[in-house]
Amino acid sequence: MSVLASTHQEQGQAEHQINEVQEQEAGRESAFAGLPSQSLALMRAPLAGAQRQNIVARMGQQYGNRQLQRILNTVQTPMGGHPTQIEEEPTQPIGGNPEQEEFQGGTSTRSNFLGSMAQSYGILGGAVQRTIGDGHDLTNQRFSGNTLLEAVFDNERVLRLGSATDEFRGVSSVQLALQDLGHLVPKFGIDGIFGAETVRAVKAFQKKEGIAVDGVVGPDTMGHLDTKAPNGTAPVKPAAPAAGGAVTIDPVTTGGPAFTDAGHFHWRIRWNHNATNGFIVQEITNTYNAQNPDGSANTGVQPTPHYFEAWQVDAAGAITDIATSEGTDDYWIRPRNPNTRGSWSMDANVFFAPSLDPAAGFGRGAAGGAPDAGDLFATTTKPANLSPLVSTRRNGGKWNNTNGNNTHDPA
Amino acid sequence: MLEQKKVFELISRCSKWDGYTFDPGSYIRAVNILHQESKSEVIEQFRDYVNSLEMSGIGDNVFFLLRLLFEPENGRTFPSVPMGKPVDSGEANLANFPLYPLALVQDVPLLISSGYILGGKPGSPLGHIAFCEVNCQLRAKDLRPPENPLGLADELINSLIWYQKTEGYEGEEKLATLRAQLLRLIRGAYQVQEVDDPDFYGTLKNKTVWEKHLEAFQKLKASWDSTNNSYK
Repeated sequence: MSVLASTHQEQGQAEHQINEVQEQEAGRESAFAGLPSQSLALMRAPLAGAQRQNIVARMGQQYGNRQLQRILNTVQTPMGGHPTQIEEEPTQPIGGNPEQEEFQGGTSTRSNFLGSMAQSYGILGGAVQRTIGDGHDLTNQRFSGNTLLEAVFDNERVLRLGSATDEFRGVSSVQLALQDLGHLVPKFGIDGIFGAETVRAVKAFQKKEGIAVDGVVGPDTMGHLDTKAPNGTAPVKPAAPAAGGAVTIDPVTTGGPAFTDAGHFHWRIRWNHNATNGFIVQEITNTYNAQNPDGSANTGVQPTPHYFEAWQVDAAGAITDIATSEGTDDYWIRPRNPNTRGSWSMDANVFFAPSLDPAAGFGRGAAGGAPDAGDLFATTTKPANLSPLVSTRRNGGKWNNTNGNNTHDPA
Repeated sequence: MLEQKKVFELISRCSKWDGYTFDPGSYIRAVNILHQESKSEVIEQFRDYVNSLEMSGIGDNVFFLLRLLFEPENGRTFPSVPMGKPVDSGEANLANFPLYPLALVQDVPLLISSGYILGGKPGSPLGHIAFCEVNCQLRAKDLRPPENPLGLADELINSLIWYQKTEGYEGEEKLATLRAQLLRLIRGAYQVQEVDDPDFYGTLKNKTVWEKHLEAFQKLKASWDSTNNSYK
């Protein structure tokens, strides 16, 4: 049993977590079908060191040197204690190996085994070893430069059920992309853990794309995500306006807009702008009318009808007053509202302001009267120093989640 | 100190801000394990966790766990969760619910706001972490739910501190969502198929159905297992 699984038991983790780990282990073990069980330990051992030498020694005693050599050839690693030169060795072609019959004891052929091992443990020959900047790189800004995801795209790593701590950021990025493409991870959300829910989302994406459906993110799946996830290219920031010139502030979609069920909606954007030394100010006008199945008004979801929210920009045009590490500046969410029907809309007018009008009473959260704005400075009072209207956008629709219906019609 | 992967999993597996799927047990497990560690190390692990996530701004479960794991000192109260406007907040008397949108009822955390409205930018949990570092201590004792927690939703919603109308369609919906949260809490001893389905709660509006669950759990004579942090 893995450390992870034993830890779960010791700490009384939920049953589903244990199941996930068992699924993970089962998936890994299947790659070794037909091979001595020590092969798994061999692959997990560091490529040099006492642990590896001990495993090799024991396998030699048990299987003899000839069989041991075949096993070692199979896992494409040098003999124990030998300096690791994996990337320099000729890559054994995957498939069509004359030794395949030696490993026919289970469902995996040697070619499958090699492919799985290469993906699982990042062991590949120099022929396919790539680096960032070699011309085979991710182009979607949401992925580009993420070393883990670049390695996945280069077939040096894979993301699959279970994930190491250092994979949290990469997995969360993939989860977010899957969600933006309509393959939701509703229970655990964007949590950085590649669990059973994420496997299902990956499989749904793979099926839609017409590629191999295995729930594993390898180079092919990564390439499709890179192409299909929103925001495939970085917007070019317009040049700063000359004195008296026009300010441009345009929303660039980074996720959604997507309708799911029971009136749920989400849409993420970031600002592509040339504003400097001031504030991007967005005026939001909300409508939300919900009814219970019996026709009575549902009052649970009550967006603030009208408010202004602001993003501070510095002399270089960078948004400075709130973290934007995930590349999103503005996030619209209407929550699930089960067993209701109704209509909603969000209208946005975007302006520039050289400062926050003190008379408008901007504040964060409830202090500004508009908790809808999250952590942005906001107010329900119109500022007096807004520029002429710069841009607009809107969304909305009707939904019906009553009496067995589950529809959402964009307006 | 617990290994980082273990801590990350404890945090990640805490339910998101969705009253229709919320599982109180996920928080009780995390709190009861983490409060035994040193404050400085827990704080550091939380920072590492938040910084490791791509969507650092969407940290609803981090906010919630911090509010349950730490206790403010010197009369301070937690700042509000800067995720947007909570659903069902219209008549909230937040003085009664210092952990809002959570309510801690006999050591059982219930999510009393089913979701949130957002039209802006959610705040990072890093601010909450800093608040805890300066103004709070880790809670001293385990969360220890009562032997039979299934009555807690009805007790809460009929109590004087409840802030919403308890009659009519929306009152029934709210009560059913809280009952479903409690059924998820006792899953170690009493498992209901589809309990994780977001629409499952609807069945619990039926008085007969709910009473059958109450009766079945009562017959089990289940108890809280403080070793495994679940009912058995």
